[in-house]
Amino acid sequence: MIKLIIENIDGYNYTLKDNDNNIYNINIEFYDIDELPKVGDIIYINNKLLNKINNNIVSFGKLDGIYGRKITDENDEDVIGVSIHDKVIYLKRYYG
Amino acid sequence: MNKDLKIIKKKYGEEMMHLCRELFPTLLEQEGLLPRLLHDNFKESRSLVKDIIDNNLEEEFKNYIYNQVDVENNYEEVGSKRPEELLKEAGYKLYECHNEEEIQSFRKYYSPGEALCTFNGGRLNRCFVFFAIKENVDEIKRENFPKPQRQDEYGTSVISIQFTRDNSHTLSIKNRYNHTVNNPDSTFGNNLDNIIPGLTNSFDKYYGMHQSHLQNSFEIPGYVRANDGKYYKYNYEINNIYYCENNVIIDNFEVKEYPHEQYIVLDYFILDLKNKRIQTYWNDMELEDSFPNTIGTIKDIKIENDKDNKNILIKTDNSDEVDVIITLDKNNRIIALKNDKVENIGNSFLSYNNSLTSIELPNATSIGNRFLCYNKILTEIQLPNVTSIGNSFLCFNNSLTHIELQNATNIGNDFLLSNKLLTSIELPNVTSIGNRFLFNNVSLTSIALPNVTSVGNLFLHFNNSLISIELQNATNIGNYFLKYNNSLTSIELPNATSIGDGFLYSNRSLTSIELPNAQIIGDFFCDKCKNIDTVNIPLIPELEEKLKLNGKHI
Repeated sequence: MIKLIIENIDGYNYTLKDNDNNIYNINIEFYDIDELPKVGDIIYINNKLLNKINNNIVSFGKLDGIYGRKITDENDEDVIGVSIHDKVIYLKRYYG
Repeated sequence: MNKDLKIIKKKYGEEMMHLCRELFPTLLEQEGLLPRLLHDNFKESRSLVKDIIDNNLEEEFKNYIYNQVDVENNYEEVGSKRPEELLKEAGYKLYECHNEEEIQSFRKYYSPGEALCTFNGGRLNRCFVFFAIKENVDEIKRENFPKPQRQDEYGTSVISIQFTRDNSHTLSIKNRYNHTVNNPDSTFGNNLDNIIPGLTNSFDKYYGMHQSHLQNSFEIPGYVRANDGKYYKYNYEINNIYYCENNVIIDNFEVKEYPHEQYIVLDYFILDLKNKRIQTYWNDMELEDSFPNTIGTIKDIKIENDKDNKNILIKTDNSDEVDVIITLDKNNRIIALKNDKVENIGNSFLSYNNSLTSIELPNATSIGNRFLCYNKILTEIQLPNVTSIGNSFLCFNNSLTHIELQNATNIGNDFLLSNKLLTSIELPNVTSIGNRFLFNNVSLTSIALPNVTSVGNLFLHFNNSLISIELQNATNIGNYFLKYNNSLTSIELPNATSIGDGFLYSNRSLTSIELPNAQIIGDFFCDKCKNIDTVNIPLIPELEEKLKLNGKHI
């Protein structure tokens, strides 16, 4: 997984930066979490998914949510980790 | 034959030529246009057409190519045509949703398990939401589409057209199948003009939905788009570096082509024919793969072509004989390997390889950790002289049915983890077995380990087919030995002195246990074993008593 730091948030638009200072702009909607990530928090993401959603819109929700594919493997491309207050929450991509 | 079709046939193969003739008749009327479009967007490859067809992407491919063309003069003038009018011409009725109730009223069109996450609530905070419903939607039944495809009649009969509320007005067209199909949020390639020409401009003019960066994406599994704008088929992606066919490596989306006269890029290695050297592309020691080290000093290299495959014949050191034969498929992936010289195999040997089907290492004696650990398709393996095996040996292979390791004595953790199909294994000289031995194997029915003295945790966990086991010399047994096995009826461990927790947990067929020398036994011993009628554990009388209290017979 690639580690991305949240550099800026404007509404649903997140600006993220990786270890090589590459910038990604993604419109993200989070479901099923009590607290949204803030600037400085970390998102861990599979780079195949990142390539698909860069400059795009995407939603994420709980791993057993009905709006995404069934996840059987922790390395599934659709799974991300969101680190808030140093605690990592795993979410999956929601569709629709 | 049309001149353009000849060019396409030469660069992309005959099947691609046929596909292009079918999909792009109007583009073929302009000489030079279609070959240029293909050349600008796809690296020459004979695999491309098969990958498009196998992934049912003909429609997306067609839309993608047409979107590269300036077709303004083919569009009707938008003029006074509103989106509602254009969509009506395409057979749809358009609805704009102003509140949550209106959004929820469309939920009825979606099958269970295929509802959009739009119906989870709150989408109007982020997007303008429209639904377009086909006039004949009531005639289009889900049960008549057993093999969903994104662009089929059902998938496109109810679409949700959503624009983000920010100035970019990024568009997403949602599919009626939702995540049952690939890329459901990019129906019609997220291009409204693919529904009916002029619709993009119409939404812009009448709803103010000006898309600041119009998307034209084409996703095909196994392909990456590089900085030059072209799609490349890749064999491996490791740490965001793509190892492609035809000697191409794409690093940080920058294309690096290695001249064929001097190099062969095989899997994720580079063979330098001139300097007689093989190495991984990367320099990261944490990702070290020991395969290049097993080749040794190369003295001579010869290449032999064999139909679609190619054999690389290598002489090493001062030998006059060919020591190493590497067989590559037409995409330069390693599919077979024979190395007569190597004795010690280090860690992570071909650890990312997923194409090898056969390997012969007749003189290898020791194998490190993560040997072929991501390979799933190996069916033939010859390691006649191996004595020591590290952790994670062939740990995700699910094609191997038989393996012989006649001289192996020590086996590490996660040995053949998840090898579900293995039905036969020979380990006559193994003395020590690590944790998670054959974890998740479900096919083995018998196993003989006559010289094993020590067995780790989670031995044959999840196997429920084993009916026969020989472990006459085992003295130490780890935790959760044969947990969930439901076929074993009796077990004898005459020399076992120490047994961990969860021994034979939930073994529902077990009727008889012989542990004459067991002195230490952990918790959950034979828990949920309902049918035991004979137990011999003379050195632990309190355990016998406990079993009596539980109503089991002795």
